Amino acid sequence: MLFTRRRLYTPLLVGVLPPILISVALLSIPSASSLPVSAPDLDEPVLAISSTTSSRDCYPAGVVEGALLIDNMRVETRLLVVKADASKLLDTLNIARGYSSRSGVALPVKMYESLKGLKVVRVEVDGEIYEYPVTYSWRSNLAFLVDPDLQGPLELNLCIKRRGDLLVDSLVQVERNLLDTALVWIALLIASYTPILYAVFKRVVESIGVDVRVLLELGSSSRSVTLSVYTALVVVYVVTSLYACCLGVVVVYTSWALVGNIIPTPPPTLRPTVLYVLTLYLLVGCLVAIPVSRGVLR
Amino acid sequence: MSLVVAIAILKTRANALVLSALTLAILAWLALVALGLVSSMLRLYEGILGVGDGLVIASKGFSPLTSLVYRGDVEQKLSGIAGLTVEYHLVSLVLVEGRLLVVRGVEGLEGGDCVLIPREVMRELNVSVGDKLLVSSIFTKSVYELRVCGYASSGALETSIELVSEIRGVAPGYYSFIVVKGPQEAIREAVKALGVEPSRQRILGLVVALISRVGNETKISLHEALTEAYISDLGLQRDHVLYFAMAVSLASIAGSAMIGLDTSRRLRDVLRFYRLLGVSKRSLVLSSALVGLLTLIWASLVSITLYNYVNLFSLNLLGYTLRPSFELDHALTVYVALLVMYSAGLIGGVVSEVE
Repeated sequence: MLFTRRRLYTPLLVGVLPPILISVALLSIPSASSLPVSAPDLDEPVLAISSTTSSRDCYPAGVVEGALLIDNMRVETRLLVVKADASKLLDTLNIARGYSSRSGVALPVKMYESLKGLKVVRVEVDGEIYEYPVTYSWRSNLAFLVDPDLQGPLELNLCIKRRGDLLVDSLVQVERNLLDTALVWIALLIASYTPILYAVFKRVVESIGVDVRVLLELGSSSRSVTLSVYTALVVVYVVTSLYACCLGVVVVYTSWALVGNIIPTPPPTLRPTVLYVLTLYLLVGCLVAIPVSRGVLR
Repeated sequence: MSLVVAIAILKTRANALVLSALTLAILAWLALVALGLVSSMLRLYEGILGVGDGLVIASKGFSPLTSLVYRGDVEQKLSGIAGLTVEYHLVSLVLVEGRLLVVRGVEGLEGGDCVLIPREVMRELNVSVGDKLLVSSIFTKSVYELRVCGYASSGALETSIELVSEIRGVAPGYYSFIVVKGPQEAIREAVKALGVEPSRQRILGLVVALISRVGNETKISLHEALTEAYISDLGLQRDHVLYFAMAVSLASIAGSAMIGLDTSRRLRDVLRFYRLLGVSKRSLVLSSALVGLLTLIWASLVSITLYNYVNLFSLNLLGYTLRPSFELDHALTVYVALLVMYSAGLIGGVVSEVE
């Protein structure tokens, strides 16, 4: 019966379309991975140090107080110590290409240049003295000690990452941040559309007031009338919501195709979160329909 | 007569009007937030780097945080133009505790390992003044241990220019961007000296000149904002992003027409009563419009209060917190749209009720 009331389509669409269309549009923003990232040397390795554990290409590391013993000289220094195979790690980082020893120390540039020609250095850590080959210099204010047989707890992790991955990661972080904010915004929009949905349903129910009275006078129980009105409201609402969702997808992809013809634009990415938002909105509508359908008897 | 009916409506249907106004206020607030956040995002680099007015000279690339410009090139082109003040800025991207942050070089910092950190970043990293931080450069394979010696005034970490150039791995003379300030005429001369044809010059507030090299040829493109200049390379046009935000904002307040229609339904009894007393249709429509206007004014005030005091929406990008920015033209668009939609619903509803 409700499908035949064409006058009701406008309020129904006004109440249902905006939150769903907006949700589809906001949750379809281009994915960070689809953006063209261009910067020099994207494959260059980068050292990432953090206290959290990471999976691949990570080594236990720490920063310790130590001293370099060179002849009779003692140079106090802070050391970045890493439990790893020096030949592999330093080669990967391009600090010392073709280095073959399993352990070694890379000195800060200034220190390395002032000790030119130094091949081996004795390092004092926690009162113990170890001897390490000097590999090369590196830009830092810390000496870089790499040894696979390091003892003691190392509270940090040193991971090797690709520069390009870091830049993409930063874009992914921006995308995640944007989507999280968009979800909170959508949730509030849905909440603020609850009274609007109530008004829409009320209008729909009022339009069938005469029919309901006729049904009651014909002997239909008030319970079955309420249930029928509720079912009708939910069906109309679900159909309109699904229509709005499909329309949103069509609008987003058509706009992209049109704009993309003029300027290269990254493609939209429809995310599964749209389904959760749609479910939430359907649930809200089903709940709002309860008091409205009960009010039909008044 | 209209005024009497309007007062009667306000007295007898206050609850319904308050509910309508509250819904309108939340819708307007959400629309303003959406537009404000997008506006702030379109000024991300301006915020992080503290760029205001003037001519900004940078190189084309992924972002001003990754591209470099040579001081000598610019100095040579700008030499001979009187009245210009030139500032050289060097920034770099660094990794701290797995987070990508921006570090900028500042003058007058004591000690080689001293770093100033924005309060919010300090809270997020759980460090305080005196603590040490491991900072990894993403441009060189270097790691520096820096001492936190205070709070940064900008949205980025701040340390000495020498250290930033070491972290960035650049030779002296290379900077991330150059800011040229001076009188309008001098800026116009500077833009001309960079090689942009006078007819293409738009000298208003901030002007960004991006230098790109194709082989031996140098090209200059002019932009009105720093962020816009870089995001266009990612396929995101500033105007398109703004139109999208505007469409989302206006669509979100479309429901206000339904609130107007519902308000007219709630006023049905009062309108009927006055109609029976002989009040003209015109007076009833006018009084309803008056009530609607008052509701809208109240809703606008509440939405502005929400906008100013409820900090629910913010974006954290590269350690810099973006909050919705308030722009008068955006606010006017939102409120005019709200007025049109709500009034259309209310007056349309009242007319049909009265008839």
